Amino acid sequence: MGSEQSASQSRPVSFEESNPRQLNFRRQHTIANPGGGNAEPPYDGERPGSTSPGPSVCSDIDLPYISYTVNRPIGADSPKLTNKQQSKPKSSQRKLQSKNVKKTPAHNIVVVKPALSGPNTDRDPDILRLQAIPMFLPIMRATLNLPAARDPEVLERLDPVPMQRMCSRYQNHMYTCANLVATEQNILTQKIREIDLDVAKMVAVASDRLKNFSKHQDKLKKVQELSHQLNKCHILLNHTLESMELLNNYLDIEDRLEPFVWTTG
Amino acid sequence: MTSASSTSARSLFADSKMRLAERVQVNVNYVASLVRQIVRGSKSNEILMHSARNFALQEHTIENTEANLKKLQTLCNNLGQQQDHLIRTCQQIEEVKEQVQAMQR
Repeated sequence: MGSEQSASQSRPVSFEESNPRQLNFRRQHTIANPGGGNAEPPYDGERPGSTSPGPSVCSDIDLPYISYTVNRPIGADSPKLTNKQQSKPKSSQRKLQSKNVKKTPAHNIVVVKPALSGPNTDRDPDILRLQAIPMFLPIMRATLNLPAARDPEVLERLDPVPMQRMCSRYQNHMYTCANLVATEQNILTQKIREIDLDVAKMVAVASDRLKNFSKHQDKLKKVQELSHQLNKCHILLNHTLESMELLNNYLDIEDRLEPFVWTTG
Repeated sequence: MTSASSTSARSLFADSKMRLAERVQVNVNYVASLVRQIVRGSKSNEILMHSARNFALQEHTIENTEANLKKLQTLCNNLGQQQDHLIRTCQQIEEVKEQVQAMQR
Protein backbone atom coordinates (compact mmCIF):
# COMPACT_ATOMS: atom_id res chain seq x y z
CA MET A 1 0.00 0.00 0.00
CA GLY A 2 2.69 2.36 0.89
CA SER A 3 4.85 1.48 -2.06
CA GLU A 4 1.99 1.86 -4.43
CA GLN A 5 1.37 5.29 -3.06
CA SER A 6 4.93 6.33 -3.53
CA ALA A 7 5.08 4.98 -7.04
CA SER A 8 2.10 6.97 -8.08
CA GLN A 9 2.84 10.15 -6.21
CA SER A 10 6.56 10.62 -6.46
CA ARG A 11 7.80 14.17 -6.13
CA PRO A 12 10.97 16.14 -5.84
CA VAL A 13 11.03 15.26 -2.20
CA SER A 14 12.21 11.74 -2.81
CA PHE A 15 15.83 11.11 -3.64
CA GLU A 16 17.89 8.91 -5.85
CA GLU A 17 18.92 5.58 -4.67
CA SER A 18 22.29 5.75 -6.38
CA ASN A 19 23.65 8.13 -3.77
CA PRO A 20 23.89 5.90 -0.80
CA ARG A 21 26.44 8.12 0.84
CA GLN A 22 24.22 11.10 0.82
CA LEU A 23 21.33 9.11 2.12
CA ASN A 24 23.02 8.40 5.38
CA PHE A 25 21.70 11.46 7.05
CA ARG A 26 18.12 10.62 6.39
CA ARG A 27 16.59 9.24 9.50
CA GLN A 28 13.07 8.17 9.84
CA HIS A 29 11.10 7.68 12.99
CA THR A 30 10.32 4.03 12.80
CA ILE A 31 8.53 4.19 16.13
CA ALA A 32 5.27 6.04 16.17
CA ASN A 33 6.04 9.48 17.48
CA PRO A 34 2.86 10.78 18.96
CA GLY A 35 4.21 14.21 19.88
CA GLY A 36 6.04 15.36 16.86
CA GLY A 37 5.68 12.70 14.26
CA ASN A 38 3.43 14.60 11.97
CA ALA A 39 3.37 13.59 8.37
CA GLU A 40 4.94 16.88 7.46
CA PRO A 41 6.96 16.83 4.28
CA PRO A 42 10.25 18.74 4.51
CA TYR A 43 9.83 20.97 1.46
CA ASP A 44 6.25 21.09 0.42
CA GLY A 45 3.25 21.62 2.45
CA GLU A 46 1.51 18.69 0.86
CA ARG A 47 1.47 15.02 1.55
CA PRO A 48 1.90 13.46 -1.84
CA GLY A 49 5.72 13.08 -1.74
CA SER A 50 5.85 11.06 1.43
CA THR A 51 5.92 7.34 1.28
CA SER A 52 4.60 6.91 4.76
CA PRO A 53 1.15 5.41 4.86
CA GLY A 54 -1.67 7.80 5.25
CA PRO A 55 -4.29 7.63 7.89
CA SER A 56 -4.70 3.98 8.39
CA VAL A 57 -7.42 2.43 6.37
CA CYS A 58 -7.51 -0.69 8.44
CA SER A 59 -7.47 -0.83 12.15
CA ASP A 60 -3.87 -1.61 13.01
CA ILE A 61 -2.79 1.25 15.12
CA ASP A 62 -0.15 -0.85 16.77
CA LEU A 63 1.76 -1.60 13.56
CA PRO A 64 1.58 1.49 11.40
CA TYR A 65 4.75 1.10 9.32
CA ILE A 66 4.35 -2.46 8.15
CA SER A 67 4.50 -1.63 4.46
CA TYR A 68 8.09 -0.55 4.75
CA THR A 69 9.24 -3.85 6.07
CA VAL A 70 6.93 -5.92 3.93
CA ASN A 71 8.42 -4.77 0.69
CA ARG A 72 11.82 -3.89 1.95
CA PRO A 73 13.01 -6.64 4.24
CA ILE A 74 16.13 -6.23 6.24
CA GLY A 75 18.71 -7.66 3.88
CA ALA A 76 17.65 -5.74 0.83
CA ASP A 77 19.83 -2.72 1.55
CA SER A 78 23.56 -2.96 1.77
CA PRO A 79 25.00 -3.24 5.26
CA LYS A 80 26.93 0.00 4.95
CA LEU A 81 23.74 1.76 4.24
CA THR A 82 21.98 0.44 7.29
CA ASN A 83 25.00 1.01 9.49
CA LYS A 84 25.45 4.60 8.53
CA GLN A 85 21.84 5.22 9.03
CA GLN A 86 22.10 4.00 12.58
CA SER A 87 25.29 5.69 13.58
CA LYS A 88 24.87 9.30 12.69
CA PRO A 89 21.83 10.89 14.22
CA LYS A 90 23.30 14.33 14.29
CA SER A 91 23.78 14.55 10.59
CA SER A 92 20.10 14.45 9.98
CA GLN A 93 20.14 18.19 10.14
CA ARG A 94 22.06 18.48 6.91
CA LYS A 95 19.91 19.10 3.90
CA LEU A 96 20.47 17.61 0.52
CA GLN A 97 21.76 20.07 -2.08
CA SER A 98 20.41 18.59 -5.28
CA LYS A 99 16.89 17.72 -6.01
CA ASN A 100 15.96 14.99 -8.43
CA VAL A 101 12.93 14.91 -10.58
CA LYS A 102 13.15 11.23 -11.33
CA LYS A 103 10.65 8.80 -10.07
CA THR A 104 12.13 7.10 -7.06
CA PRO A 105 11.85 3.47 -6.12
CA ALA A 106 10.56 2.64 -2.71
CA HIS A 107 14.01 2.60 -1.06
CA ASN A 108 14.46 6.26 -0.19
CA ILE A 109 13.90 7.54 3.24
CA VAL A 110 12.05 10.74 3.76
CA VAL A 111 12.61 12.79 6.85
CA VAL A 112 9.28 13.53 8.35
CA LYS A 113 10.70 15.87 10.95
CA PRO A 114 14.31 16.76 11.49
CA ALA A 115 15.83 15.43 14.66
CA LEU A 116 16.13 17.74 17.61
CA SER A 117 19.63 17.69 19.02
CA GLY A 118 19.79 19.66 22.19
CA PRO A 119 22.92 20.89 23.91
CA ASN A 120 23.20 17.68 25.94
CA THR A 121 23.14 15.33 23.02
CA ASP A 122 26.77 14.38 23.21
CA ARG A 123 26.66 13.70 26.87
CA ASP A 124 23.61 11.53 26.75
CA PRO A 125 24.74 8.12 27.98
CA ASP A 126 22.33 6.26 25.77
CA ILE A 127 23.56 8.01 22.66
CA LEU A 128 27.12 7.40 23.68
CA ARG A 129 26.37 3.72 24.11
CA LEU A 130 24.70 3.61 20.74
CA GLN A 131 27.72 5.22 19.18
CA ALA A 132 29.97 2.71 20.86
CA ILE A 133 28.28 -0.23 19.15
CA PRO A 134 30.71 -1.71 16.66
CA MET A 135 29.81 -2.49 13.11
CA PHE A 136 28.16 -5.84 12.67
CA LEU A 137 26.69 -7.83 9.86
CA PRO A 138 23.37 -9.58 9.96
CA ILE A 139 23.40 -13.28 10.70
CA MET A 140 21.92 -14.35 7.43
CA ARG A 141 23.00 -12.63 4.29
CA ALA A 142 20.20 -14.01 2.21
CA THR A 143 16.78 -12.43 2.19
CA LEU A 144 13.42 -13.69 1.23
CA ASN A 145 13.87 -12.75 -2.38
CA LEU A 146 17.62 -12.85 -2.90
CA PRO A 147 19.24 -16.11 -1.98
CA ALA A 148 22.83 -14.99 -1.57
CA ALA A 149 25.83 -17.26 -1.53
CA ARG A 150 27.70 -15.28 1.07
CA ASP A 151 28.59 -18.34 3.11
CA PRO A 152 31.96 -18.87 1.43
CA GLU A 153 32.93 -15.46 2.68
CA VAL A 154 32.23 -16.53 6.21
CA LEU A 155 34.05 -19.80 5.76
CA GLU A 156 37.08 -18.08 4.30
CA ARG A 157 37.47 -16.03 7.43
CA LEU A 158 37.77 -19.14 9.60
CA ASP A 159 41.09 -20.89 9.21
CA PRO A 160 40.40 -24.60 9.46
CA VAL A 161 43.97 -25.78 9.88
CA PRO A 162 44.46 -24.94 13.56
CA MET A 163 41.03 -26.30 14.34
CA GLN A 164 41.86 -29.53 12.56
CA ARG A 165 45.17 -29.77 14.36
CA MET A 166 43.51 -29.29 17.68
CA CYS A 167 40.87 -31.89 16.90
CA SER A 168 43.42 -34.46 15.80
CA ARG A 169 45.47 -33.79 18.90
CA TYR A 170 42.43 -34.34 21.05
CA GLN A 171 41.63 -37.51 19.18
CA ASN A 172 45.15 -38.83 19.62
CA HIS A 173 45.11 -37.89 23.26
CA MET A 174 41.91 -39.83 23.82
CA TYR A 175 43.34 -42.81 21.99
CA THR A 176 46.52 -42.76 24.05
CA CYS A 177 44.70 -42.47 27.33
CA ALA A 178 42.35 -45.29 26.41
CA ASN A 179 45.29 -47.49 25.48
CA LEU A 180 47.06 -46.77 28.75
CA VAL A 181 43.99 -47.64 30.73
CA ALA A 182 43.44 -50.79 28.69
CA THR A 183 47.01 -52.01 29.20
CA GLU A 184 46.81 -51.39 32.93
CA GLN A 185 43.56 -53.31 33.10
CA ASN A 186 45.08 -56.19 31.14
CA ILE A 187 48.02 -56.34 33.52
CA LEU A 188 45.63 -56.45 36.44
CA THR A 189 43.63 -59.21 34.81
CA GLN A 190 46.75 -61.32 34.29
CA LYS A 191 47.82 -60.78 37.86
CA ILE A 192 44.41 -61.83 39.10
CA ARG A 193 44.67 -65.05 37.14
CA GLU A 194 48.18 -65.70 38.43
CA ILE A 195 47.09 -65.13 41.98
CA ASP A 196 44.22 -67.51 41.53
CA LEU A 197 46.55 -70.20 40.25
CA ASP A 198 48.97 -69.67 43.12
CA VAL A 199 46.27 -69.87 45.72
CA ALA A 200 44.94 -73.03 44.17
CA LYS A 201 48.44 -74.57 44.32
CA MET A 202 48.81 -73.59 47.95
CA VAL A 203 45.49 -75.15 48.78
CA ALA A 204 46.60 -78.37 47.10
CA VAL A 205 49.89 -78.44 49.04
CA ALA A 206 48.19 -77.81 52.33
CA SER A 207 45.61 -80.49 51.78
CA ASP A 208 48.37 -82.98 50.90
CA ARG A 209 50.17 -82.18 54.11
CA LEU A 210 46.99 -82.55 56.02
CA LYS A 211 46.43 -86.01 54.61
CA ASN A 212 49.95 -87.15 55.41
CA PHE A 213 49.86 -85.81 58.92
CA SER A 214 46.53 -87.41 59.54
CA LYS A 215 48.07 -90.74 58.62
CA HIS A 216 50.96 -90.11 61.03
CA GLN A 217 48.47 -89.04 63.62
CA ASP A 218 46.59 -92.28 63.28
CA LYS A 219 49.79 -94.27 63.68
CA LEU A 220 50.85 -92.30 66.68
CA LYS A 221 47.50 -92.82 68.36
CA LYS A 222 48.61 -96.38 68.70
CA VAL A 223 51.45 -95.11 70.88
CA GLN A 224 48.93 -93.67 73.23
CA GLU A 225 47.08 -96.93 73.42
CA LEU A 226 50.37 -98.66 73.99
CA SER A 227 51.22 -96.41 76.88
CA HIS A 228 47.81 -97.02 78.44
CA GLN A 229 48.29 -100.71 78.15
CA LEU A 230 51.78 -100.48 79.58
CA ASN A 231 50.46 -98.59 82.55
CA LYS A 232 47.82 -101.21 83.19
CA CYS A 233 50.42 -103.88 82.80
CA HIS A 234 52.73 -102.25 85.29
CA ILE A 235 50.01 -101.79 87.84
CA LEU A 236 48.88 -105.35 87.44
CA LEU A 237 52.44 -106.55 87.82
CA ASN A 238 52.94 -104.61 91.00
CA HIS A 239 49.70 -105.90 92.34
CA THR A 240 50.69 -109.40 91.47
CA LEU A 241 54.03 -109.00 93.20
CA GLU A 242 52.36 -107.76 96.31
CA SER A 243 49.95 -110.56 96.25
CA MET A 244 52.79 -113.00 95.88
CA GLU A 245 54.65 -111.52 98.83
CA LEU A 246 51.55 -111.68 100.90
CA LEU A 247 50.84 -115.24 100.00
CA ASN A 248 54.42 -116.16 100.62
CA ASN A 249 54.27 -114.68 104.07
CA TYR A 250 51.09 -116.56 104.87
CA LEU A 251 52.88 -119.87 104.32
CA ASP A 252 55.00 -121.55 107.04
CA ILE A 253 58.59 -120.76 107.15
CA GLU A 254 59.46 -124.21 105.77
CA ASP A 255 57.33 -123.79 102.63
CA ARG A 256 58.25 -120.31 101.81
CA LEU A 257 59.84 -119.71 98.52
CA GLU A 258 62.74 -117.42 98.02
CA PRO A 259 61.89 -113.78 97.80
CA PHE A 260 60.83 -112.92 94.27
CA VAL A 261 63.34 -111.06 92.32
CA TRP A 262 62.54 -109.76 88.89
CA THR A 263 65.47 -110.82 86.86
CA THR A 264 66.10 -109.38 83.48
CA GLY A 265 67.63 -111.35 80.75
CA MET B 1 1.70 -9.41 0.90
CA THR B 2 0.85 -5.74 0.79
CA SER B 3 -2.09 -6.00 3.16
CA ALA B 4 -1.17 -4.37 6.38
CA SER B 5 -3.39 -6.43 8.61
CA SER B 6 -2.04 -7.49 11.93
CA THR B 7 -2.16 -11.18 11.16
CA SER B 8 0.09 -10.86 8.17
CA ALA B 9 2.32 -8.60 10.17
CA ARG B 10 2.65 -11.17 12.87
CA SER B 11 3.61 -13.79 10.34
CA LEU B 12 5.90 -11.29 8.67
CA PHE B 13 9.19 -12.68 9.77
CA ALA B 14 8.14 -16.27 9.98
CA ASP B 15 9.98 -17.16 6.83
CA SER B 16 13.14 -15.39 7.96
CA LYS B 17 12.94 -17.01 11.31
CA MET B 18 12.54 -20.39 9.71
CA ARG B 19 15.57 -19.84 7.54
CA LEU B 20 17.60 -18.61 10.46
CA ALA B 21 16.60 -21.66 12.42
CA GLU B 22 17.61 -23.85 9.53
CA ARG B 23 21.01 -22.22 9.31
CA VAL B 24 21.50 -22.62 13.02
CA GLN B 25 20.47 -26.24 12.81
CA VAL B 26 22.90 -26.83 9.97
CA ASN B 27 25.72 -25.37 12.02
CA VAL B 28 24.81 -27.38 15.07
CA ASN B 29 24.77 -30.52 12.94
CA TYR B 30 28.22 -29.67 11.64
CA VAL B 31 29.55 -29.34 15.15
CA ALA B 32 27.86 -32.57 16.15
CA SER B 33 29.37 -34.48 13.26
CA LEU B 34 32.80 -33.07 14.06
CA VAL B 35 32.59 -34.20 17.66
CA ARG B 36 31.25 -37.58 16.65
CA GLN B 37 34.19 -37.99 14.32
CA ILE B 38 36.59 -37.19 17.12
CA VAL B 39 34.98 -39.60 19.54
CA ARG B 40 34.62 -42.47 17.12
CA GLY B 41 37.93 -41.86 15.44
CA SER B 42 39.78 -42.23 18.69
CA LYS B 43 38.07 -45.59 19.33
CA SER B 44 38.38 -44.87 22.99
CA ASN B 45 34.87 -46.13 23.58
CA GLU B 46 35.58 -49.52 22.07
CA ILE B 47 38.90 -49.96 23.81
CA LEU B 48 37.51 -49.10 27.20
CA MET B 49 34.46 -51.29 26.74
CA HIS B 50 36.67 -54.19 25.74
CA SER B 51 38.88 -53.85 28.76
CA ALA B 52 35.92 -53.40 31.07
CA ARG B 53 34.33 -56.57 29.76
CA ASN B 54 37.56 -58.52 30.26
CA PHE B 55 37.82 -57.24 33.77
CA ALA B 56 34.25 -58.18 34.49
CA LEU B 57 34.98 -61.74 33.34
CA GLN B 58 37.53 -62.02 36.11
CA GLU B 59 34.73 -61.92 38.63
CA HIS B 60 34.40 -65.70 38.50
CA THR B 61 38.13 -66.07 38.97
CA ILE B 62 38.07 -63.81 41.97
CA GLU B 63 35.24 -65.80 43.55
CA ASN B 64 37.25 -68.94 43.01
CA THR B 65 40.21 -67.34 44.71
CA GLU B 66 38.10 -66.30 47.65
CA ALA B 67 36.74 -69.83 48.12
CA ASN B 68 40.24 -71.26 47.94
CA LEU B 69 41.45 -68.83 50.53
CA LYS B 70 38.68 -69.85 52.91
CA LYS B 71 39.57 -73.52 52.39
CA LEU B 72 43.15 -72.65 53.10
CA GLN B 73 42.10 -71.03 56.35
CA THR B 74 40.32 -74.16 57.54
CA LEU B 75 43.23 -76.33 56.43
CA CYS B 76 45.58 -74.20 58.47
CA ASN B 77 43.42 -74.64 61.52
CA ASN B 78 43.34 -78.39 61.03
CA LEU B 79 47.08 -78.56 60.58
CA GLY B 80 47.56 -76.63 63.77
CA GLN B 81 45.44 -79.06 65.69
CA GLN B 82 47.34 -81.93 64.21
CA GLN B 83 50.60 -80.35 65.24
CA ASP B 84 49.43 -80.05 68.84
CA HIS B 85 48.36 -83.62 68.88
CA LEU B 86 51.66 -84.77 67.46
CA ILE B 87 53.61 -82.87 70.10
CA ARG B 88 51.58 -84.41 72.88
CA THR B 89 52.00 -87.82 71.43
CA CYS B 90 55.75 -87.41 71.13
CA GLN B 91 55.91 -86.45 74.78
CA GLN B 92 53.90 -89.49 75.64
CA ILE B 93 56.40 -91.63 73.81
CA GLU B 94 59.10 -90.34 76.13
CA GLU B 95 57.01 -91.22 79.15
CA VAL B 96 56.32 -94.67 77.80
CA LYS B 97 60.03 -95.27 77.36
CA GLU B 98 60.66 -94.36 80.97
CA GLN B 99 57.85 -96.64 82.11
CA VAL B 100 59.27 -99.52 80.17
CA GLN B 101 62.67 -98.92 81.67
CA ALA B 102 61.10 -98.81 85.10
CA MET B 103 59.31 -102.03 84.52
CA GLN B 104 62.44 -103.75 83.39
CA ARG B 105 64.13 -103.16 86.69
